[in-house]
Amino acid sequence: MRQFTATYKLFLQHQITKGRLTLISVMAAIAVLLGFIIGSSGGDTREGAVVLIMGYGINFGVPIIALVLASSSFGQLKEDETLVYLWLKPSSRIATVVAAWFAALSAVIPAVAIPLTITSLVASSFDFSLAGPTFLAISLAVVAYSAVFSFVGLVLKKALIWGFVYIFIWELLIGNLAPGTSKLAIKTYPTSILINMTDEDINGDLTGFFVSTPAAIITLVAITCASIALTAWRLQETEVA
Amino acid sequence: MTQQPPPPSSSQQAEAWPPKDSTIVARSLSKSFRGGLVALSELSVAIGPGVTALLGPNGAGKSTFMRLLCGLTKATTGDIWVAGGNPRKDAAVRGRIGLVPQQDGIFERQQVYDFVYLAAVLHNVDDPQSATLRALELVELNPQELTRPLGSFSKGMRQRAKIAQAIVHDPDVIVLDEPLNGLDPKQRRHMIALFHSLGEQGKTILVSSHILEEVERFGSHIVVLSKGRLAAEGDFRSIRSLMDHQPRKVKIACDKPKNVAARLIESSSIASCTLHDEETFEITTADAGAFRKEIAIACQKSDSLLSEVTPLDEDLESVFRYLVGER
Repeated sequence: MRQFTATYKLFLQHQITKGRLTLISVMAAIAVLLGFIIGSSGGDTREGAVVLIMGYGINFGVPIIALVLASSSFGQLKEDETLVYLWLKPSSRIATVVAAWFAALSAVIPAVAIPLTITSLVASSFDFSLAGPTFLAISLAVVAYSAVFSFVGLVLKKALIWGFVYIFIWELLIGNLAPGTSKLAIKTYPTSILINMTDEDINGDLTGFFVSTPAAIITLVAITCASIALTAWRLQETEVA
Repeated sequence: MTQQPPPPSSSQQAEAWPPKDSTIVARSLSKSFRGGLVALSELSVAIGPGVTALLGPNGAGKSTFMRLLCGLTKATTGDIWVAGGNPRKDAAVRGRIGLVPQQDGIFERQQVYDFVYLAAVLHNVDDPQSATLRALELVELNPQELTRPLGSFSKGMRQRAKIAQAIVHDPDVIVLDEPLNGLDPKQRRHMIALFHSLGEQGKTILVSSHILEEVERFGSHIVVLSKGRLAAEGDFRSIRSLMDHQPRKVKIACDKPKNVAARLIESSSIASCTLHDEETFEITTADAGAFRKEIAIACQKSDSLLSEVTPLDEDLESVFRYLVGER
């Protein structure tokens, strides 16, 4: 446990920089501002709030912030050639990876789940029934994206660029092509949780794009576990400078 | 589970290779990179407790060898054992290694105390706090500096922090890649004394440095790499004495240098002779044994008082130059 805590603190220290904090603050401020605009526009603000959380939160905010923070866990250590100080220690690879992922979670969840939950309230004229589903869907999305982007940071140089390519090409383009391809995008699952739990009929013709809540939760957990296992394996196999 | 090096082949049995006390054993170790660059080729070497200097010009494969023996990279072919196991696969073996890497990269935002403490904790040291303070004291880092972030340190102080994190868990094998970089002369002397002291405690210390004067002070046991191959291994003075084909340079001081030099130059063992001043001259000989007899005779016949006979190329730098230049 002492080893885990020490590694976790190190990763957290690496992830939180002034630049990243600025990005998080700007994205959170934009979310709340959009929420305020939707909330004060009249009409069905509840549906508007759900669309905002889906469109801005799950499609952009969560993956981008998770990418920026989680990919830096191993990415930055590789880039500045300090990974050796962790790699050579006799600690378990899986514990190291979980510590990195946990550090990303503890930075990203407060950075996106809390502002987006507030956004959902502001946008829906304080419909508190949206708060729980929003927080759960966003948090589960963070859990999965952080695990995937930790892996990306370890295996790819210029992980940020590749991460953005993944978000925009795979998640947003291919993931929106057809019901079949949507299942290949992570965003489908937190979106499904949000839609199912809020019972909002968003564009009924998109029904085929979503899955049930239990299936969505199981899939996100499976993606997370697979990513962590893959990262631990890759960490063991990696060439360290 | 640790693995032992396989028994020596029949040709090696006569020499009992590797020696029983070897803590580092490389057998036919090769490492190639993409694009066909061969960093190490068929390296077989055994290193035991004490201080061993790893020498070689830039690109000789020193850092690659050090990375291989810490498990940081995979060998293309061949095997390496450190403390009886494979450091790439065996976490327990990694726990017995301390490394000072060559690169400057360090956790810039971490305080020096935390940097060394983290190493102690990750090595599961029983009392990491005491171990950290002890290691920092050994490298003479001022206790008042311990809360400063590493990024604000000079290169020398960072280097000392790197050494502290490498020894905090009392490892059996300590690998130091250019550990004296950035240190002032006083600190260099202190670190060399520290490495000696650790070597005398039975630890295996492998040090690479490009400053040969300092390497000479680490001790006489060297491993020389050149172009990824083993050029020589052992005591550098013994290595020099085995290099019969390499003419030796000797400085001679006596009261009648011209007369003695004139007699010596007639000898077949003397290749060249250069007068320096009224008291000294330098000769080059291909036969050191014959020269020792002839100098005595030449002085006697010249009625000259011999005051000094100093080999000029038995220092590490000359041995290194010959070894690397030969290949």
